[in-house]
Amino acid sequence: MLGKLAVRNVKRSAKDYVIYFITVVLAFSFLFAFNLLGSSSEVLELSDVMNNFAIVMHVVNIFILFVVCFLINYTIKFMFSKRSLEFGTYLLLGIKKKQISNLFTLENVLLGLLTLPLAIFVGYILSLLMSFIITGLFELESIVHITFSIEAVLLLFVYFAFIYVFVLFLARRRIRKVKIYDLLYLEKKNEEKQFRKNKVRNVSFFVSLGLGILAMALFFQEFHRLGVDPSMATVLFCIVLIIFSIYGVVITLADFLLKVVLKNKKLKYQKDYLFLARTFSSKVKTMSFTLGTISVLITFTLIALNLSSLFKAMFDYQLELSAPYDISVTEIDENEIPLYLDFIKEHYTIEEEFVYHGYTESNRNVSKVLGELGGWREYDQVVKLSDYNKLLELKGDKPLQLEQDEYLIHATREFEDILTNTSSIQEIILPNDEVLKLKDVVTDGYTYAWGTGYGFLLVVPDDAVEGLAVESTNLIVDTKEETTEEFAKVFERLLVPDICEEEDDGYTVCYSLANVTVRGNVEATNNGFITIVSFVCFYIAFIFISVVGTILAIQGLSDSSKYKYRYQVLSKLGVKESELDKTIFRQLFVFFLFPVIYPIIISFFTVFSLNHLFQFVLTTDTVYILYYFINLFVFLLIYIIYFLTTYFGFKRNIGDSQGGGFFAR
Amino acid sequence: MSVLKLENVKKYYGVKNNITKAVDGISFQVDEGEFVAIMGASGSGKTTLLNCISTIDNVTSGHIYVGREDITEIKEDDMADFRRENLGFIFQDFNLLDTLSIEENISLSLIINHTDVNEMDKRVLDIASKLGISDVLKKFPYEVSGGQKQRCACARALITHPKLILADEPTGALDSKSSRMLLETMRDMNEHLGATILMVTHDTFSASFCKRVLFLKDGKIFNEILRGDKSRKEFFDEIIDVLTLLGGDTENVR
Repeated sequence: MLGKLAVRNVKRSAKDYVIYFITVVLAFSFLFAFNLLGSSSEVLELSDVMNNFAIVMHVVNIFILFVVCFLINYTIKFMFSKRSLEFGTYLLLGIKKKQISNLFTLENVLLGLLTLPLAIFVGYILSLLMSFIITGLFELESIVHITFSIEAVLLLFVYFAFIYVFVLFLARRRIRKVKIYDLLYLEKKNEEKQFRKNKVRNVSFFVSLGLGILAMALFFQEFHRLGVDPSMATVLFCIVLIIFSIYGVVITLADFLLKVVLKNKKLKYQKDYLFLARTFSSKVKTMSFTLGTISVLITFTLIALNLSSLFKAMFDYQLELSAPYDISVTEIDENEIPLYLDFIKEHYTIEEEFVYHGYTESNRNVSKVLGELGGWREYDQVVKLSDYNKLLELKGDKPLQLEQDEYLIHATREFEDILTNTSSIQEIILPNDEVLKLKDVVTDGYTYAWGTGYGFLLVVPDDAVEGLAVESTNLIVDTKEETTEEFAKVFERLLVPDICEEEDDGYTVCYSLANVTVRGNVEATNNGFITIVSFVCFYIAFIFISVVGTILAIQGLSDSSKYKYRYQVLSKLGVKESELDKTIFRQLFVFFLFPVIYPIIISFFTVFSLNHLFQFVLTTDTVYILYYFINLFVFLLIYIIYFLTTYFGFKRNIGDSQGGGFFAR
Repeated sequence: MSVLKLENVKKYYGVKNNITKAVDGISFQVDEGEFVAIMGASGSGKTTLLNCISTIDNVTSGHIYVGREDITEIKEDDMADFRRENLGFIFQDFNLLDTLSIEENISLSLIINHTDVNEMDKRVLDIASKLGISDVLKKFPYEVSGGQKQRCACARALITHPKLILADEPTGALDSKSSRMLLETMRDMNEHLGATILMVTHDTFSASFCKRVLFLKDGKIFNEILRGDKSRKEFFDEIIDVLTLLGGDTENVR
């Protein structure tokens, strides 16, 4: 009989159960999507190689598990409160608590099992969609392959069992402890004041804020020290601090704001502030922990998005730094050039080939300044302006102009400070007695393809190289097709050895002075690690955004019946429908805005600190700000979609009642 | 023989400096076959008192005996059995389960008691015909009128032959015609089926159907009147007089 009752109840409260069902399906599909990522061979391989990466994946896994657990617990609590009156009646009629909790358990397990196949399906589609977006929109190589895996399914079952055992244990304990009185009058209950004393609240607020600042400072310290690897322990400690801080701030802040609004009569009675403030703070009181979790998730989302773009930017910069041209061979033997070209022609269509000379500047005007920082070369390398401009043009940069008595230094960013602050290079004398004034030190767009072992390049007017010894001959080739890793391997074998040395074990090892760089090869070597990390970060960010949006949307919609009544009262008091709409908009807007504010601040400072790690491998040291805002924009875009969906859904739910069922409550 | 006996029952709410004495030392007893009303203005403690008697709420101090058993001492685990065997409930908002038909709602406690199916059907039909709801048995609560719902609640309360039926403003959500019908039903239940009923109400008309009325004010018993051989009209006037004396809300004086 109880079983029959359960089935009927599920049928009758189908509308509420739809919300429950969708939440559970989504929650498990997010979990499954993450499992799929974790079981993809690329990620597994990377975890094998990189210890830290494996740790990060585990931490994220635990966190997602925790959030899903929390989400399901939340929905089960929600269903319980919806049916509190029913359970109260059962108790009154003499059904034992144990029977009721068995009934409730059975119901939830059955429903949960029903959600699993759907969750697997949705999760799989979701993961495909996400990898499609990531590879398409963010132009990442599709190097991580998400495939359906039985392992991920099994893992999902394990997680499912774990979560349900845990959550239902909590639910059963709740039922055991609940008083029949509370069940019958649960709906009419007001939210309790969380902090009986304002002082406690104020202190908690500032302590939480302090923890956040402390965490940020520690984090900054950790990444500010150049050349020292940040310790994983400190970083984890900072993360824990940040989580505590976010929960604390979010929980106390709403109460704090409410106090401000209520204290200030002018503010209190202006427009619909009173209604908004009360609604909002009651909301925060009932779901302060949820909002805290959401804020933590948003923080992680923003950081993950930024990490992802920093990694991607790092990859792009590395590529430009070492291989801006399809094929480049430095210090080549001039006679061998046709040989190389013929070989390249067998594989690719040559769009453009360019040979230029590097000249010797034996006075070493610049490397003397750099001292040990500079390369291991005995000369400074000089190129003609016309050659230099051609080099720039092939890279897709704009050509430069020089006066007859000017020269230019193009160097890596590390040298910028020293070179711009040294007066001795303001005017230099070349070995051929040409006197040149420094026009500028350029750092953007330097590439090692212009010669290894220097870190800088002197550009002089074409006439000024007269009398200088030719130091090297270099070949640059622009091919129509993309070069590949395989080609690079064969091509390198072509090089004629220049120096041979006998090793201790009797083998002879030969080197070539020439230096070959094939873009496709560099791309492939760098690609693996960075792209996977970047991809994983994006993927996690998307899962988090989905979780956040789902929680907020469901929260907003689930208790719209409660608000229906409140808005009916407002409407009866003579508030126009357009004004009601505005109030609804504001109410939801505040609700969605609130959990985003603190994470934006926290994540910005985190990225600011992280930038110290990345700035030397990025095009400029402030480019992270641009990335930050682009990522924030991407996040907000998705967030706003969730917001609007909730808004229209909410309005429809409220609107249902304004027609016929005016007194229907 | 007394079915219900209260000894100095108190129920306090709040903390330290802000205590509400909802029920403040009430003692009385209800004998078998009585139909008693508890009246009082809103906030006088009627519902709290009823909640305490119906084991929905705990008392702060004092004892409540139902039959020989002290319900303030019953363990949580045995409470369900006790309620099922001794008490019947009628609420202002019916508290019927939407998912069950009227028939199933009525038989719910019997199902829980594992009563024989044939016996169950017989009893449901019997009680339904007595309360005049035989023709709506197959319907669901949302398909029938408020009066019918409340009579269904009565049937549910009656079917286990409880020692005591507790009713909280049973006419609160009904129109006057349905109210009258319900009260007549309850009187019949009391007179012909031998049910002992304790009803909380603030409605004089409802109270005039009872045999005895207790008046509460600020958590204490203020007065008590018996109907005796008086007509319902005379009793009604008498109740009004007491309410005027009670000086509560004028809304109680019609």
